[in-house]
Order: sequence, then structure tokens, then C-alpha cells
Amino acid sequence: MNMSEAKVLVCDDSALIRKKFTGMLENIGCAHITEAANGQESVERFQEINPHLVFLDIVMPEKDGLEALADMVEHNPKARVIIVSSAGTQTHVKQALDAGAVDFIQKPADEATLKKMLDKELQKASESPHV
Amino acid sequence: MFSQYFGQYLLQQGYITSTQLREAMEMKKNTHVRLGVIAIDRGDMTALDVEDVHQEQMRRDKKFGSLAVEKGYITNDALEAMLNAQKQPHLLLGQSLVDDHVLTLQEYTDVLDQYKQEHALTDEEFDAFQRGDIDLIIEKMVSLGALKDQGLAHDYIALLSRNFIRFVEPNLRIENAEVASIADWTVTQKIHGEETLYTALCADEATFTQIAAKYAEEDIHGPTELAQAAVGELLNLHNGLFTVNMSNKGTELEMEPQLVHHNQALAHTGASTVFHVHLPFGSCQIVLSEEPLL
Repeated sequence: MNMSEAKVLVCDDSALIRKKFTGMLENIGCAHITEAANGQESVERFQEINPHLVFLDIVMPEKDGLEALADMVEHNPKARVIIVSSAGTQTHVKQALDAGAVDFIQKPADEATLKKMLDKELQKASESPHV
Repeated sequence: MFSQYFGQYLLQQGYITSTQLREAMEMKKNTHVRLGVIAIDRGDMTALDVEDVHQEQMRRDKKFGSLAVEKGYITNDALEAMLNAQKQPHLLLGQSLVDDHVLTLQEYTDVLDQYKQEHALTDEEFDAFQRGDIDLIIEKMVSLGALKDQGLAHDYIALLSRNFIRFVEPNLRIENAEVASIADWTVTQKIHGEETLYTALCADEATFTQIAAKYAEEDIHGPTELAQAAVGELLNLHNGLFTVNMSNKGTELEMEPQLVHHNQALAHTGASTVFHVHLPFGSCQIVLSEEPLL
């Protein structure tokens, strides 16, 4: 699968972060980007579009990122979710990975990091078809 | 940062007028040389290397030089040479005041001594102050009020100073303020866990918009949704870095989502302390409290 085919879900309550993420993802070739502005909406969009990769903030209203992650993993145990947070303590990283996240990025993310992660995930998706 | 405090002192003591201070600070701003620029100028780092270190600074509370060494871009010897090459900001302020005949060299020397005495600064502390030692500046210039955990409050304000310098504006001065009146725009965020801290950033509309534009690096005019998201994210990023620092010290904290309010009065109690952050384009207030602000 190439970058333009990947479905990416960006979940953050900050309109600025969603704008920056979407801009960076478009720059690296993503064409199917969906945004969600809180934890509940994140889960709903996840169930609707079944994305190849999710960037998920932890501190969000309605439902926090870790709760949303649990719902996503319950809906699809093969969900590929990368947690993105400004609070990158070891405890948070461990909580996220224990809950089923595949990686953790501390905010603010840069384009090179996003590209590296997408390349890695798309490589995995090619080896193991998306469910 | 020393220049902001010392410049204010010169103004308050009647040595200079506000116009002279503004002009001197403007001249100083134009001649301030950042370490990244020196690194490029000396050929120690490429622009991409410098950008990489700047990106890393947005995730980790470390100085430019330390990160550049850690990442292998420069050696410790090169860093030392770069630091020596960097002009001292206070010298630039003094230089512009003397060059413009606002103060004689002797008057400048005398008023520096007077400043040192009035603020009970030892020679070592004064040197550290002039080098921009933020921990010392906060300790000497800012009262942390009635907050029970003074160490926590100190760490919070010192990090806030560094984050404003990194992400918004390098020329700032923080001082205590009276209880804030209703601000046009306020962002609040609760930090909880082993400690509880209610935090707020308040500003008038023009300053709020400027902070947003500078932090987001976007063309923002007015308190739009993007402006609100930007200032909200600034407080969120700062509080996030604060929780990382506290976690590294063994105190685990969590954050609640930040909230943006328009014309919102805050509930100030004896457990809150208010700080003015003076920026060249306006002032904002930072409120720290151990009790709810809303």
C-alpha cells in the first residue's frame, strides 16, 4: 500500500494540532485524512472508517485518549494507534503501550517523525493485511 | 532576560524615559545573536541541524547547547567557544544606552552596582542573573505567594519562563501582579495527582491574538477558533512538559483538558498567586492556585 491509499485518523481536541497534523500528513502524501475533536468522536470515526493508522491525543474532553484506545482495540484488536501527547511521562508511555498502542510521540510532532511512523506502519500493513 | 528587569529598574528610578528604554531594547533586539545563528556562522552546524535541535527543544526542557552536544552536532569545546562568542544581552542594552548618550559609562556602572545592592545579589549571583539564569531570576524577583508547595510553584514559573522564551517571545519579564480583573480571554487547565494545581493564562484580546500567532506560527488576526486552540495548546504543552519534569522527580501528575473562556471572572483565594508576563507587545497573566479558579 502506498501513502495515498492509507486511511489516517487524527484525534485531538485542539484545532491547531489537527490543522498542523493534517498539513504534515498531506505534505508526505496522505490523501485520506479524517479528524476527530474529542474521545467519543474518535471512537465513532474509527468505527466508521476503519483507519490504517490513528494518531490519538490522551488529554481530551468527552472521553480521554486511553479510554478511546480501549474502545478502538475492543472494536478491532488489530487497530494501529499511536498516542500523541504533551505529557510524555514514562507512566503515560507504559499505560498507552499496555492499553494496546503501537507507539508514543511527545508533542509537538514533526513531519519527519510522522513520515517515519507511517512508512513503518504501511510496511507492516503490506505484510499483514488490514482487518 | 536581565535586560528586561534592569531596563524596568532604570525606568522606575528615573534614569531613562520609556521612549529611551523602548529604543534601547529595540536596538538590543536587533543585535541579539542566538546560539543557533552563531553555530551556523562558525560552521559548527547546518541550518537543518539547528532546526532539529529546535524541534527537540519543543519536546524536552533542555538548553540548545546541551542538546546540540548530546546529539553529536558539536563538541563541548565548540559549545564553549560559541557561548563566548555570544554577546551578553545586558552589554547590548548598556552599549545602546551609552552610545545614545542616555547614560555615561560611569552612570551605567554606578546604576549596575546600585541595582546589585538593592536586590541583595552577590557578585556570583549577579553574573548568573546577567547570563539569564532563570531559576535565580525567579528566586530573586518573584514572590510565589501563599502557595503551600513553593518548590513546585518555583519549578512551574521557571519552566513557564523558558517555554515563553522558546515558543513565544525571548524578551520577557515576569513579576507578581494583583489579582486579575476579568480578562478578555482566559485558558484554564487543572493538573492533579500527587499534587493539585489549577492553572490559567489570561490576556486582553490583542495580546491573546499575538501570543496565538507567534506560538502557532500562523497568520492569525483576532480571537478565532485557531487562536483559541493555539493559546490553549501553549498552556497544554507547557503543563505537559511540567508533568514530565515532575515525573522525573518522582511526582506523578495528570492533566485535564484545557478550557478557553471569554470574559470569565476567576475565583481568587488566598491559595492563588498571579504573575504578569510582560512581553514587548502586551502583558498576559498566569494564575496558579491550589483551589478551583472557576
